[in-house]
Amino acid sequence: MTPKQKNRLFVVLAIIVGVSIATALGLTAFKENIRFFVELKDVDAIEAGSSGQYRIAGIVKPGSVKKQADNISYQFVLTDCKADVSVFYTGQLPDLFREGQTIVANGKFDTNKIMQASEVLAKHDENYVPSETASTIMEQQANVCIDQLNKAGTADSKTY
Amino acid sequence: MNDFNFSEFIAMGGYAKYVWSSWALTIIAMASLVVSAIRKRKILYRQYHQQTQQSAARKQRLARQQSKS
Amino acid sequence: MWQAIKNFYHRMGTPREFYRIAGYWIPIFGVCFAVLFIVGAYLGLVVAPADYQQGDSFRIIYVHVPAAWMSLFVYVVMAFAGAIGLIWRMKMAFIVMITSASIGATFTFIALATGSLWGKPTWGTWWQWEARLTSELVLLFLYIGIMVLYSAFTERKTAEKAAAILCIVGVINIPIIHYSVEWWNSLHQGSTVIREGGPAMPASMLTPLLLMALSFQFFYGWLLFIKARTQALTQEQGSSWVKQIIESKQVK
Repeated sequence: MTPKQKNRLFVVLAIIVGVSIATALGLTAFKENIRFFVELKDVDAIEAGSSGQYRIAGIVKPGSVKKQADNISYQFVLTDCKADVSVFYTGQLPDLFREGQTIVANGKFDTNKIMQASEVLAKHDENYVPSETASTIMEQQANVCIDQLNKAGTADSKTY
Repeated sequence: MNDFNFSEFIAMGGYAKYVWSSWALTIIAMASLVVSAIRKRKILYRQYHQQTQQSAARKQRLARQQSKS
Repeated sequence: MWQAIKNFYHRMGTPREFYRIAGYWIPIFGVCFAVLFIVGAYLGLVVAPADYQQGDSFRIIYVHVPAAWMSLFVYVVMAFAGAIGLIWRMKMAFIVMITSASIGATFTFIALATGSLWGKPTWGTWWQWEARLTSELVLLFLYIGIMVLYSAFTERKTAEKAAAILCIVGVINIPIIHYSVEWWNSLHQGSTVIREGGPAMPASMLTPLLLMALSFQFFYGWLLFIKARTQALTQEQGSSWVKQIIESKQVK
């Protein structure tokens, strides 16, 4: 390499390093804003009846889904095995909505700390399994947390 | 594939419009890349030949004018 | 060995040698692409079993994921080519960089559009402003920006340098896209294939995905060689080897 080429190599590397540092700083500063949803353990800090719009994510607690009398509204509980949050939603649920599935609900908390969701999204995991071989094993794996929850006793896992 | 059922295959378990539009969109986008690449090449050839023809014609004209004078 | 690599590198760096060598590989890449695409599509659409949760909608993965991988791969190739062009002033490196841009942009568009078509039935939304989706959209704008910047200059050498610098600056977006699903909580799920503990997918579903990914790679190589050859001819017009090649072609 000639000295000129070495200089240019140095400039290219300097650009990459500079941009990386700037981006890392920027992303750290806005870390909270990049989060797509609030974790359930942080919901406690949100005031009931506040006007803020929040996205929360959690597993749909088995047995908690209640279809309302109007047939298009649902009430269900999202859980992360520690904290529970009730969600009320009117509208069409995504195809992947089912018990034990991770769901993202977007809405406001009413005075009873129930989320009045305007949007319910399903979050898929990275696992793909053929339907023929998807036995209860898979379901059990998905519900490890739910099993723990059940063993711990229902007293702790109170719903709405 | 003994149990292959064509209408079932087209229906895609109720997701036909999403699956087929995804695949169609992919193939059309890739095909349009190929078409534009081939067209670019043809344009290059055509322009080159036009230019060489024009410059040849100009040379001829010049030669004729020179022989007249 | 090192000497051989160096020789090859220098040969590929000159437009004339590149034209000859690429011409040899174009039909091979084209055939590999077509065969792998047909086999991959057949296995993916017909043979692979439906997913236990998503049913047949998961078959979108066979175009979505290869396109998304290629959108990142093409960008990395462009950034490398841009750096080589800037440091060693190699003509062919800039040609590879600039002819890759429209291919990469198309792969990014395919990834975004098929992702949207997949998200609607499964997640319940066409689009969300979350980390993975947004960073991939930024990638599309980067590709478009590079193309626009290149065409904005009348002086080709200035255009090449400007586009290469933008390309190198934008490469920071590539790890952001890849790690977006790990660094922040997002709607998009984590990686299925490239992850610790191996792919979270049985072979019957994974094989068509890998075949499609390989076919997209061949498609890129094939089209890149075709486009780069045209670009080399355009830039080297006036030199005798270009005249010889073009004059031997019939024009309809």
